[in-house]
Amino acid sequence: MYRLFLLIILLSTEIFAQNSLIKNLSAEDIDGNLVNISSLNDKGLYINFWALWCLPCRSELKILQELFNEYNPKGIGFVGINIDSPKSLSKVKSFISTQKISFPILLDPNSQILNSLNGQNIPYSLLINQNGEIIKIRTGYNAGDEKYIRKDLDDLLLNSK
Amino acid sequence: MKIFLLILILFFNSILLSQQISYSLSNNLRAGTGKENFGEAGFLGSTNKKYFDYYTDLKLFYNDFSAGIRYEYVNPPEYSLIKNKISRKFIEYNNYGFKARIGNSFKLFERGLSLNLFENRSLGFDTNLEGLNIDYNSQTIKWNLIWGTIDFVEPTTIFTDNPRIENYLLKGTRIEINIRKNFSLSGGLLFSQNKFPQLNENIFLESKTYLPEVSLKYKSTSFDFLFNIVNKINKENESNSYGSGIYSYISFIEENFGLTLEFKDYRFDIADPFKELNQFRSTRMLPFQNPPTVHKEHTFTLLTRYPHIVNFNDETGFQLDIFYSPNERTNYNFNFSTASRHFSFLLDKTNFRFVKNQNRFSFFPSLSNEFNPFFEIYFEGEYLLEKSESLIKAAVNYRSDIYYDVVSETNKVQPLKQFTIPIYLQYLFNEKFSLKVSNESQWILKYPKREYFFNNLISLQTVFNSNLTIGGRLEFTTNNDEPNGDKFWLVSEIGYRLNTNHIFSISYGSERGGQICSNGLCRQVLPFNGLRFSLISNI
Repeated sequence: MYRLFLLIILLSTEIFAQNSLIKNLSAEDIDGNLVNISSLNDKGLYINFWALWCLPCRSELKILQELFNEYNPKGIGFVGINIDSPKSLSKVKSFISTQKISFPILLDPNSQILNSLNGQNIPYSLLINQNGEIIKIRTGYNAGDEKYIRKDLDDLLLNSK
Repeated sequence: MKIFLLILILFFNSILLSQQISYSLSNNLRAGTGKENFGEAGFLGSTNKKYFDYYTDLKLFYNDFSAGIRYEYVNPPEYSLIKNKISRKFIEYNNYGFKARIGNSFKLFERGLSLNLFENRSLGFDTNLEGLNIDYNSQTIKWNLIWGTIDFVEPTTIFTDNPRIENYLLKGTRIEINIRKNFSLSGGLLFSQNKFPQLNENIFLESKTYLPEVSLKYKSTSFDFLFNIVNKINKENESNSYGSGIYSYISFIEENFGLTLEFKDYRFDIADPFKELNQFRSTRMLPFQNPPTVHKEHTFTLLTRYPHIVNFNDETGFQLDIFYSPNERTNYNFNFSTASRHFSFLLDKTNFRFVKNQNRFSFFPSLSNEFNPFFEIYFEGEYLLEKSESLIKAAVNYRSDIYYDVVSETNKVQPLKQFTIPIYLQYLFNEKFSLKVSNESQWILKYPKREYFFNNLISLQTVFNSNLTIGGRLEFTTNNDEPNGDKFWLVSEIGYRLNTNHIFSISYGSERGGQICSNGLCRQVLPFNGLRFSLISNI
């Protein structure tokens, strides 16, 4: 009976629910500094979860660096959250340096942030507006996705104040 | 459970009234039907295999509070117990560095020598903690506290009549302080009360484990260093046993160059071959510990098939990993890793006991066969074609893993040697069409075979509008001892991504199976012939 009651409550939750919010999420960057993710948000924020063992993630990182160069001056922040477990964690900084990734990379070795944002597979990306609301979720990455990410970023800029 | 849910419901209700709640919802459905093959030449079998594995995670956020539940329905399972229940639930308070959660959670202390809790569904491995989990993080201090229980289902017993469930009550704390700029020092203590089931279901072996841990860390822009050591004290009845683990790395980083050297020295439970036969012994490294494996984590399929299985109870080794980018289009990765046991054992046939013999330089791996030596060399080159999303990648890998069977009279040295050449091409023709092709060729010498056999895997994926994927995998082997005698496998796959956040995929055909591993944990996936379906969505 209590399960049925719970189900009713959950269904009603969906009806009332508004956009998800990112709040109070923080993690260490590759130099050991604690970074609050919302502090990277100006007119919007693109959050990307990745790992060294994930080939599509590595392709997406290269594209994100190009987009970062273009959109960061316009006020959109980018952050990569690496979820490599302790077995590969020590190589992340070395990889990032040689790939010339200049946007912030945070470490989530126990996938706590990924889990708290309900990510299941990577690459997993979230586009956040300036109010901290999630306006787009992207699971996976295929060659050709750059066009769609770019469109999402342009739309975000148009709608920001 | 019921009281907890009632509180959760009341919490949601009160928030709903104000309509300031936000939510996140994800669903994961996997199902399949077909046949599974098992056995080896001469002892072959086949069985019908169906599975249905579904779970949904709902998280609700309200100001500094969040709450979540997971509902799971698994019946019949692919590789887990049958489930139809709310398997996760939590309430969390999170405000500027302070986070407190009651319910289910995972936790990592430093690099996992004492504590690394995680779930891996494909391995049937789950060490989620039910209880209290508190973190405080600031620029100068990090503090963690955990208190709770783990009911750990031993994955290798999942399909037996009586799955083995071990119970751990964990209490632990850890503090990390920045003592100077770039330098931090941390210490922690984990205490566990353990209950291990015995042959008689109603009898449990009880023991206590203490895991004190210290680490020293230095991080700067161009140089990182970590030294992490943990001791293990196990108390069972009146007897104590001791173990230890060390993990360390240094990393040098320049603009186009990164070098990482890792070292491991795991002695959590040095055991002779007779004692090792009991894989569930209470003195072993416990399932909530998962230190770094210190060998390369591969992305190519055939390289993940016969991995080195780390003996966390008795193994030392190191890994060197180098990234080098001479220009914007070219990337190289070189990796070398090696490991061995600290001790070898000789069988004293007169007294039927094992005599322990220590490696001369016990901190460093030995290449003598008696110490189960392992080494691997990997080199990868990647070249980005003119269009930034087009690339070609090629690698070469050699791996040697020796098992020394001290009891065998005639075949003490039992090798597993692999030589693999994978090639991967990704080409973006235009915004509406791209192609991914890979070929992996592998030569394997696997005891008791005396000659190399050959494996080849070809994979093709065509991507339309970056949302529709059509492709397949073709694999063949010259090995004569595959389950069901198969030498040829073909799978076709279709995947579709709807609205960027729903992924649907379906595959049909025969899959070879093999060993899958994560962080030193492995299981054998049986060859499968049939239909698989999956749907993943995030809202």
